[in-house]
Amino acid sequence: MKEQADKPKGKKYTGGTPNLNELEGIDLFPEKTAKARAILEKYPVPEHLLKRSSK
Amino acid sequence: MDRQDYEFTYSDEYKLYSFVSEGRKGSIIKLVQFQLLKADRYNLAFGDWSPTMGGIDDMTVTDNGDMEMVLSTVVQIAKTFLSSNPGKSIQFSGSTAGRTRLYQIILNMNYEIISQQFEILGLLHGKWHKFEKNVNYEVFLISKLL
Repeated sequence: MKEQADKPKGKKYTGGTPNLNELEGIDLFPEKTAKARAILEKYPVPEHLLKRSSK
Repeated sequence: MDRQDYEFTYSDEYKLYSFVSEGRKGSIIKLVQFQLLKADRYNLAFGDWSPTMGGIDDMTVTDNGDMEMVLSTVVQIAKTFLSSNPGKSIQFSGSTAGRTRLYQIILNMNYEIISQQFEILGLLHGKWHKFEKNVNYEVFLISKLL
């Protein structure tokens, strides 16, 4: 598997099943979301690690 | 066929994505969702769409023989999400320890390329660290470098 530093891929949803725009507002993975929220609350990320600037 | 990942579609707000896994068990619709956790952080989760259930099961072991293409597609989707949502971060871990380990291997394999565009942190024993290869983290956090 190779990564490419190129433009984002993908196409906008234009119809079909499942309806992405209808489902978008629904949490399809509530257990995983709850687990992730618990991790976030318990283990906040130290600000100094969030550099977010390119080298 | 020499493709490395599947074509995918995304919702109006770039929070829900779908693609079709093609393998020995047929065509399986995969959904990838970015769920808001707090202001700038989203959880990444994905699983199989079940038309009969009208829902998702992220514990399913699909075994469709195309795991590498599926995960490569999820990586591309994550890139699209981060490019479409500047300043946001993605938190993710596997449904099982084995899957988390699999994600670790993928990050290890592609670290040099991924790290040029993205910052990766890993949670280990209750503390966040800058990602290092060959360390088994429990949770990952990825942000696009600005």
